[in-house]
Amino acid sequence: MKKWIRWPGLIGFVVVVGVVIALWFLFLDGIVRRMVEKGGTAVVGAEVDLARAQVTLVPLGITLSGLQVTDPQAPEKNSLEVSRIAFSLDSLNLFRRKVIINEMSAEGLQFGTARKRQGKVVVPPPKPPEEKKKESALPSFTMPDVKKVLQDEKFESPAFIEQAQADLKKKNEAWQKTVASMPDKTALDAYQERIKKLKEAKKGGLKGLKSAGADVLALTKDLNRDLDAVKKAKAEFGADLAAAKALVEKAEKSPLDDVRRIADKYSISSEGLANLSQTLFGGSVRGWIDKGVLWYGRLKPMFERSGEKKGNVRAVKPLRGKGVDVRFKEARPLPDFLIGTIKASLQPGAGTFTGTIRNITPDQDVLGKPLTFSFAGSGLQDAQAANLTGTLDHRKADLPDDSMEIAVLGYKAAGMTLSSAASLPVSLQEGTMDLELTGRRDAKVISARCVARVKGAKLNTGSDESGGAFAKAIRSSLAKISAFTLTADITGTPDNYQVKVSSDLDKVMKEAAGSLVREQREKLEKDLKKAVQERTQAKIAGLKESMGGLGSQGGKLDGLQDRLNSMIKDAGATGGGKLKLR
Amino acid sequence: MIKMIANLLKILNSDADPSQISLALGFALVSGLLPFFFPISLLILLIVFLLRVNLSAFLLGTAFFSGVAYLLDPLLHRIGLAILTAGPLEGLWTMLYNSTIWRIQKFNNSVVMGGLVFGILCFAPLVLLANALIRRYREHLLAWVKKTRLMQAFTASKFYDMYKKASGWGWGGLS
Repeated sequence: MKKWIRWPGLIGFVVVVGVVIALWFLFLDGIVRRMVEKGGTAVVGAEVDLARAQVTLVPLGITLSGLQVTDPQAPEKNSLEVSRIAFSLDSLNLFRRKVIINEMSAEGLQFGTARKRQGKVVVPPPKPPEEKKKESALPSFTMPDVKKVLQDEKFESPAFIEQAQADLKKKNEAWQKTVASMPDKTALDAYQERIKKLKEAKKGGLKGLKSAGADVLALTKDLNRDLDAVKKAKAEFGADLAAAKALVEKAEKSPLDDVRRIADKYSISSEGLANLSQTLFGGSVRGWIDKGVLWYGRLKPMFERSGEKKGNVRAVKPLRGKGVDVRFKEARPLPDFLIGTIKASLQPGAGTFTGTIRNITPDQDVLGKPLTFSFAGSGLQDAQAANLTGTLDHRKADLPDDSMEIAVLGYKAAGMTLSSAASLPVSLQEGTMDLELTGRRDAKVISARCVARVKGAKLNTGSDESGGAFAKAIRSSLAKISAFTLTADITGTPDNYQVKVSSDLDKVMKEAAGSLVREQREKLEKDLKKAVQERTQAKIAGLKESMGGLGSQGGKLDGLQDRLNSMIKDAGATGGGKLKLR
Repeated sequence: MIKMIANLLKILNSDADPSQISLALGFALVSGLLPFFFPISLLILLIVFLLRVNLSAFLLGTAFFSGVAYLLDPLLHRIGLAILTAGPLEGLWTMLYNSTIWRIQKFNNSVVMGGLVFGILCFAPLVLLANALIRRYREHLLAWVKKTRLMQAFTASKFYDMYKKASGWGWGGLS
């Protein structure tokens, strides 16, 4: 036994472990700093910097100073900067690998601050497709040159009509083959000959009648078989003919669809005219909302954890590390990570803005409480008062229920871009805004309404005089505006939502530019119609001709059916019985 | 890689008892498959220090099996998850899960559980196999290896002198 035990090894073990622990303590602050930076960067998708982390052991607590979170969409800025975050950790639960922070205080929160150097963006924010299309989707406010429009735009109708004609030709050929496979003149003549013979046999008295009986049955059977084939073909033909008619109708309408599509692109439709605010401000509003949704997605791991349920246990991905952690039923359930309360204070130029965030945990189902937040500010430099409250309820992962309310009173807006369209940029140079936002999101539906009431408004529509008479009329009408309301309604599913913007500016702009737009559009449509007709007229005539050819195949089938019915009647008469026509 | 082979040869060619080397490799397997500086790894380290096993072989083996663990992670995860989610064991895991001592071990992580079970199961076969191989190596190949240029160059180096001295202290090579 003694041969196998090495007692001095115990000293060696204590020394090794002691050295490792001492080194760990020595570098603990740096380790925590790097962990915060690395973890934060992974969550946000952009560089997170921390000036200093300080760990105290008794009581166990951490103080973070100078936290900067790069804005992934503008890396030269910080989306958030916090001067000091301090919290204490529940050390007993830390041994159970549960990070429980009862109270955290965050001081000096600032948004949109400039960075000394540009931050790295690890995961570039996805560009919403609408944002890319935003500029092109906005109609030009100048009268377009039709020749140039015809050069730039491609009519889709000629190709569609050609394709329709090719389809009809194929169908026609197929039906020609089908009709050819039906009983032809020779076959019908042969039936006629058999009927004639039966009639003669009937005249031959009782003996003739006896032998003719079996022939009548055989003939009737043959005729019915052919008739069934014709009727089946007719039914299929009916469906094909209906589809062909629909295709021809669509092809005939396609030139007008082309006209409408191109005219919508280069001018404003009647619907667009009635809602110019959507056309003008929709892109910007959508951009703001997309940014909010993007941040919601990025912060989601903080209040919802993905996991797979296996029987009574649940396998969840740890925030860091490899493999999965399997959770079992706990006698006293506690989340793996929990910040009970964050007391935050923003650093406005004047006034106060403080708030509380409660129950930050990715395991709301374990805690049994949703995340709630509430911020209030008064006497601020940029606003008289502001309130922000909300709940992110993910206790049931498949039935999330989030809601938020924002109310800002007397916000002093300056240089706020409402439309970045090159043809008609609009910004709120100055004005006082009251903002109300209420929103709700569950698993299937997202719905929100944002109402902004602006008083003392001074709208800037750019110094550029481009855009023609229309833009001029809009500019002139907007210049007179001193108060307006802008409403954005967001509806749809969380993955696919629509933003509808409406405003009392619509009426003003419509009155100012309505007649101009209508005239411009009518002229454009007229020119486009002429051009598209030149390219499609002959093709449509050819298409109709093909349709006539297909219809004639139906006529042939009708004639064949009548002839077979007549023969069945004759055959029945020779047998002396009555056969029902089909 | 060459340094690792040289270190291995150095250990194999030393006077250390084959069973001390093979036992060290067995502990290295369990330790290497578990995350670094883990409670169970610490326990193994204590055993390795207390038992008269070859420390150099243990350190070399741990480095080797840590590398192997990266490749085996998907397999270890599967094994661990299957064990942790096995219905009949649910009661046992639930009881351990509610104990702070066991929670510190992070036994409920699929890779940790997979690594531990895999390591324990392979411990005895590895020790026996390594023991047999070392004995055969010393019987049949040692004389030839000592004559190779690599080994001669290595024995002439200062590093080897240091190693021999350390061996004399009862550490390192060190039995």
